Amino acid sequence: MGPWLPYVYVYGVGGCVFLASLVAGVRAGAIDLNRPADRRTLLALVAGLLLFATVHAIWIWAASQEPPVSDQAAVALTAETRA
Amino acid sequence: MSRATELVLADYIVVALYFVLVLAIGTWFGKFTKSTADFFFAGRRFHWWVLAMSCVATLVGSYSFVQYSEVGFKYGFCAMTPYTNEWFVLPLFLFGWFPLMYYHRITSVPEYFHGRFNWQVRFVVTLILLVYLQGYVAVNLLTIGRIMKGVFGMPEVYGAALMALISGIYLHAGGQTSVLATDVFQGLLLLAAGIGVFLLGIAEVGGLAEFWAALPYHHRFPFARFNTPPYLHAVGNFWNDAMTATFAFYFINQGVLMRFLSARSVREGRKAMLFVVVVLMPVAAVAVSGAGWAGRAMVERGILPEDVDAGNIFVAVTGKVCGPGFQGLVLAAVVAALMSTLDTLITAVAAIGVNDVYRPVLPGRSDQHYLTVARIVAIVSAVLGISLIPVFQHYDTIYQALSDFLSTVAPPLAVPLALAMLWPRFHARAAIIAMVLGMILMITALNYPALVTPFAHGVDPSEGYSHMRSLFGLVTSLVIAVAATYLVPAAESAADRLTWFHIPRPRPARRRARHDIWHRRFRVQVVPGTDPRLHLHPETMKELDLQQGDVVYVCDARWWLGGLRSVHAVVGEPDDTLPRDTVRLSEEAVRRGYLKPRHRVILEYEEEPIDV
Repeated sequence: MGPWLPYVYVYGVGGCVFLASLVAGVRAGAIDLNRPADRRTLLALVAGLLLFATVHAIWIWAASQEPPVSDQAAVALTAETRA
Repeated sequence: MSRATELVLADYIVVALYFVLVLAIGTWFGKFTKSTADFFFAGRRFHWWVLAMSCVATLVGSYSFVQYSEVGFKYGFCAMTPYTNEWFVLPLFLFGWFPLMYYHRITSVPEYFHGRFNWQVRFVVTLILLVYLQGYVAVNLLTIGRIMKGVFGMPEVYGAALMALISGIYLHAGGQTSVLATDVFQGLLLLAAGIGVFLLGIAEVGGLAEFWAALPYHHRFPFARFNTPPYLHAVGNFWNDAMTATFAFYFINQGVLMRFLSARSVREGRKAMLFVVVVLMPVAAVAVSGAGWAGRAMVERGILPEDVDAGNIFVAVTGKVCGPGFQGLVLAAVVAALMSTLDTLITAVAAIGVNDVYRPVLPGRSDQHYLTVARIVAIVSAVLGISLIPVFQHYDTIYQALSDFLSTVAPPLAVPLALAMLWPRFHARAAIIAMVLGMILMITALNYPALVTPFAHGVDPSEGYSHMRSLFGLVTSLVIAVAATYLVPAAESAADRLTWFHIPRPRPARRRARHDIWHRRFRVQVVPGTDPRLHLHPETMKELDLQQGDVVYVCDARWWLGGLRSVHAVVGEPDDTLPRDTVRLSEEAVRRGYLKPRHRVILEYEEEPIDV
């Protein structure tokens, strides 16, 4: 998993807590889906979380594109040895 | 900041200007405080952007610039994590805790526990919060004293006393209104200074592409590694910060809670919170960590020496990239981060001191009496903070002790609070047992870290599981609370109206009134008396779809006041002698809302169940 493990853990476990809170809120009546104000807040919450998850995913992907310096050194060494 | 950064006259002028401005702003806004509701909750009339901007200054704490720059320098972009991981408990705050506190007009966390359970639970929580808040006031004052010593060479106690005097003067005058006003200014200042240092650092390295290329591989990731090194890891950040600290900060921290209770409605408070989490927290994360990232790139490019002290990287980068005057601005930003936290803490101590200690002992006095007591408590808190400085000065480990105290009490407080809100069956005895036993177990785990091992996710125990102890505390407190609820008989019936099953319902929405709000501006006609009602021409009421008994928000039409001059009022009987563009209010209502009759107002139908 490498750099993706923290991402999967944080958004996986945190996402479960987040989702469970929303479901429990709707069932308790604290979140009234018939009320526009509650729907807007709910939408903003979910969209915000997805936005952060997306930005973090793109960020990890971009950072992963260049291998660690130690790996680069190993690749260079291997190429040198072959030559 | 130290004298080694060689401040020049321009820097000293900027710092002096900062102090004068904070004092002037804070004191001037004191005239908007005439009741305890003004002193503690700024009259509950502010718009979302005022709360959001002021919240940033409070969220950026005393050590933020130094601490997060160090983490950024050592570990990279993962220093942002504590500022960007608050999502997971937000639904509970926005839909549960905040509306419960707001609609039931509950003024403090202990008062909630009293309403939900009994006075014994309130007593325990009051004691814990007062010890924590007052200790934190002293630590903040000492930190300010150390900065003043470093910059001006004055003894720590004198520097701290000077800062306590400045904050004491404006807090005495204006309470929460002054805190809001000064914190908006200080929030803008610290964001501008922090981002400025970061951008100058990037320019010093040679631009954004060079900066990115200069960063070591592992510094580029937004998360720390999963469970290594023992000092900083993603799993520890998640349980200690995202779950426990976020919960403690928004649910238990009286100062932050009071900030959101200053909103004109729950809707505005929710908007403020969302704006803080989506926009301002990531910006603040860059502001406080940016010097560390720039410093790492500068070291990689040979601009700074390799053996630069990581703990001093903020000062090193600032000294390198900032010109005369800007260093003074950065110093002012660091002091602003401290001052804004300090004034919030002192207001919180005053609120708990009056609402949870003084008022229950001496009930039935006038509001003016409690307002005077609140002002005195604010001064006493500042003086007590200064008197505690010598204790903290001689025992540096007390810093650590206070930090340990918070991490020890946070999970055993968070779990009963969450269950009290979510679970009607949860009762007073179970709450006390969970708090006391939970804390005992947390203290035991401090001394016997092996207890935490089953929860450690493979983290090395060499740091004593400082982060993973939170997960241990959450799980053990939850198990104890649930077991005690079923096994220990309840002493009395708990008030389940204070759970999120019983949040008051809003009034039906009025589409036409909402549409008209920002387009119609009304003159104000003031009549003698104390009538809390607002009167309008019958045709205007029809146009706005208003009926007698509706609650409206009357606000000065100048948006940039952010609700400073506004009041809620009940719509009274129509009056056809009034011009159509005029509202009639009593002198008392105008005084309460600090409205200026020569300025026009806007009206907004208030859907929420707000008492006037």
